[in-house]
Amino acid sequence: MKIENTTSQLTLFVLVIFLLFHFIINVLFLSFDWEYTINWKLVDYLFTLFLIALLGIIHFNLNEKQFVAISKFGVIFLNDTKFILILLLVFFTLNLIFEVIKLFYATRYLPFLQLEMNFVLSIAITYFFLYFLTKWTNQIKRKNIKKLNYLYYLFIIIFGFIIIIYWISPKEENNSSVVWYFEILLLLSSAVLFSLIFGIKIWIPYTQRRIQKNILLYSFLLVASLIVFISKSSENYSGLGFSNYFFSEFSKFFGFILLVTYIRTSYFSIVSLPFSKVLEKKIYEVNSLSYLSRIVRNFNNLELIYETIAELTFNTFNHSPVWIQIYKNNSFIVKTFKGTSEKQIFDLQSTPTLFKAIKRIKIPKVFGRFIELQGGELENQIQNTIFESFCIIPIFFKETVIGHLIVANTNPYQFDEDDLDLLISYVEALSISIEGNFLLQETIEKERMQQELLLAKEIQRNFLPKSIPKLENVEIEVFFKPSDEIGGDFYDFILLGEKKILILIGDVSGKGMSASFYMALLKGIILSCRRKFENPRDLFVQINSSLFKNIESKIHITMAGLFLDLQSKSFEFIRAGHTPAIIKSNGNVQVFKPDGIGTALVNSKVFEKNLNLASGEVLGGEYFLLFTDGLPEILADKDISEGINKLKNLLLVSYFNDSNELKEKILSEISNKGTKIDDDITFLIIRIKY
Amino acid sequence: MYEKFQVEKKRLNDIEIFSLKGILDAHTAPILENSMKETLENGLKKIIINFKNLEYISSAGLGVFMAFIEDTRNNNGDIKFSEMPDKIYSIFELLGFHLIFDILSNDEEAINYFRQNKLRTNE
Repeated sequence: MKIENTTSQLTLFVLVIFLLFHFIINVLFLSFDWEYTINWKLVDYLFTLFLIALLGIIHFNLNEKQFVAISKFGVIFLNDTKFILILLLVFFTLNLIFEVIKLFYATRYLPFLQLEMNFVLSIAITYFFLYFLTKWTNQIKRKNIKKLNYLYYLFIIIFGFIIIIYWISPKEENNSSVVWYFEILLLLSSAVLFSLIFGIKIWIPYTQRRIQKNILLYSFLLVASLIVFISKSSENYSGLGFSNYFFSEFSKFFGFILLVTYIRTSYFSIVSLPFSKVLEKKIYEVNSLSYLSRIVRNFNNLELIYETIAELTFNTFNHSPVWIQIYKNNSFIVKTFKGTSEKQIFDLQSTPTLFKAIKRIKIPKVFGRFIELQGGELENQIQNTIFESFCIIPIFFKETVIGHLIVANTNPYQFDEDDLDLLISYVEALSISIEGNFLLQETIEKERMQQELLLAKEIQRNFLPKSIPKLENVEIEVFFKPSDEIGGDFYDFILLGEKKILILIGDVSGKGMSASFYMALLKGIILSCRRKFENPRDLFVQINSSLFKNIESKIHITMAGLFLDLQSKSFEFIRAGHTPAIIKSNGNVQVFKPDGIGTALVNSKVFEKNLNLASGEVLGGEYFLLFTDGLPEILADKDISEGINKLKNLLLVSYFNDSNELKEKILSEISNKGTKIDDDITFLIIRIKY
Repeated sequence: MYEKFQVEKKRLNDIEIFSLKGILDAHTAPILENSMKETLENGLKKIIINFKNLEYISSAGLGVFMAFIEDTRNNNGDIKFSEMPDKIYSIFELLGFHLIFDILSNDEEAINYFRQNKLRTNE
């Protein structure tokens, strides 16, 4: 209850002034034995009216706009109940003090003071009752329950009636029992109406059990206090007594209404208490499942899921020991435990028979006695002093049991089949996490491999020439497309003066990182030899002797070299295990395939012995096509010789004006095949202009 | 799962005959490699590889033979190839394997080579 705005504060101030005024007038009445004339009576009535108006102003200026959730109603209700109880206790205590003093000192002012005090108290009590009633009806109305709305208005009307009747027939003049009974009837109906508006049925079930118990206790206390409060006989009022009398009786009305409400509250609290225990458990279960479903996607934090499930199980199963064990080879790891120790868990399963018995469990099961867990055989019983009853739920991953969630208890028959459902839900959530975690790890691994491939691709790119050398009358076209897995294709140009060039093409066996590693090695060897060799054959022999025995025996590198000498107008072609060269000259197409073993396969002697040269004249107009096995393979479904034939034919029959046009012809041939490329494709076209 | 590559081993005294089937590439090469390693660990150094049912061989597949050739030849043994389809032969030929290995028309011929102690050396 907060009085915040200035209007209310001002009214409160006026109220205090008026109470002082009332006190002084009454003192004068008492001291000088004034007569209660008709004029005074008018003042008395107007005074009461004024006080009511003041209370009304304060009331409507109160800031109580905060609306709360139904589940919080109980707490607020309890606090308000306590406050009313305190008010009543203050009332009783102060009166008791006055009565005790009256035993010893009999002055005429003492009863008067007591009356005045009670007047102020009953205004306060009245006011708080009013506040309490309005606040609660507002809260309930806010929930928009239509029936309650109608009841509320009915209550207001009936209560209005009571006040009017009371106003026009004050007690001292009211000798007619008809009016009295009518009044009682109206009061009773308004009380019943109000208790209905209170909507106890609506919010009591949502209230926590602890709060409910408190509400019940305070309701009992309040009911007793209210009965005493209501039954207190009216006193004789002197002086301006009407307002005193009015508020005293008014607070009793409210007290009566609250009495009925609190009796009803007590009744509902008693009725719903046992249910709310079940309800609370169910709510906990639902909450725990929804919580689990939220955290279950933390695939990278399996430990959290294990721990949460153990915690939730521990709480749901009245603090029975719980643990999760995951199998690894012929043993197990305790992922999490609660209410027990790792030693206890391992002690329990220290015998192989028992460990196997648990490990074998494939369907969720309850064991009432330890004997049941051992298969019920009475002979060779293992003595167990740790646990008696068990709930065991298997944890599956890809259709195999990888572990168990175990709830245990030292007492027999602590679990039943109904307990399994919740545990199964927990374990299902766990399985999702485990699966998710597995997939996540897989993805990370894939990502890593992808990263490695990207790196390999970059290395491969870096070892290829950045540009094509310019040579008079020589036109070079390059096509290079690495596969997703990265093959080991490479090419290189070695310029030897202005008129000579050695064009190299090759293929490192193997793929990915290792291929790019050997390519780097090869590039190094070529760089170190490029100024030293006498002829291409010499270079190849040097490369072979550098590689043979120095690299993995499984790995070999095929290479081909085309040496163009425009000064002497000749060419040489050399091949170390590589695909042949196709040469078009004067309308003739020839496949050049001199003997030659791949590098890194045999020693220098054998290599050199078998390495032959093909040579010819360069007169202008020639096309040389160098390629790696990826090209003929894709053109003829991995049949290299067939692919080479196709290329030969292409050069023979199709029409092209320069090397770029030939390149486009080959590329359109590739795209016609439309098959997936799983090797690098590299080819070089060298055209000698006229 | 569909077996992309299969290897069958048949022992004849001190000779082991490998029959290859399917596709021998970078992914399946370890199968043959392990199989040959096993044979060599058992002390057998005379090996015949039958290619009759092999559909494809990649450079990684060729690498497997190179991995063991030195070991066999140094120990009075060899690896001989037989019944090689043309398609496979052209790949061997390109790489120059026909200059390093004996490629024979059938297993009997290969066995005879071993009987007559026609072994190649690393030189």
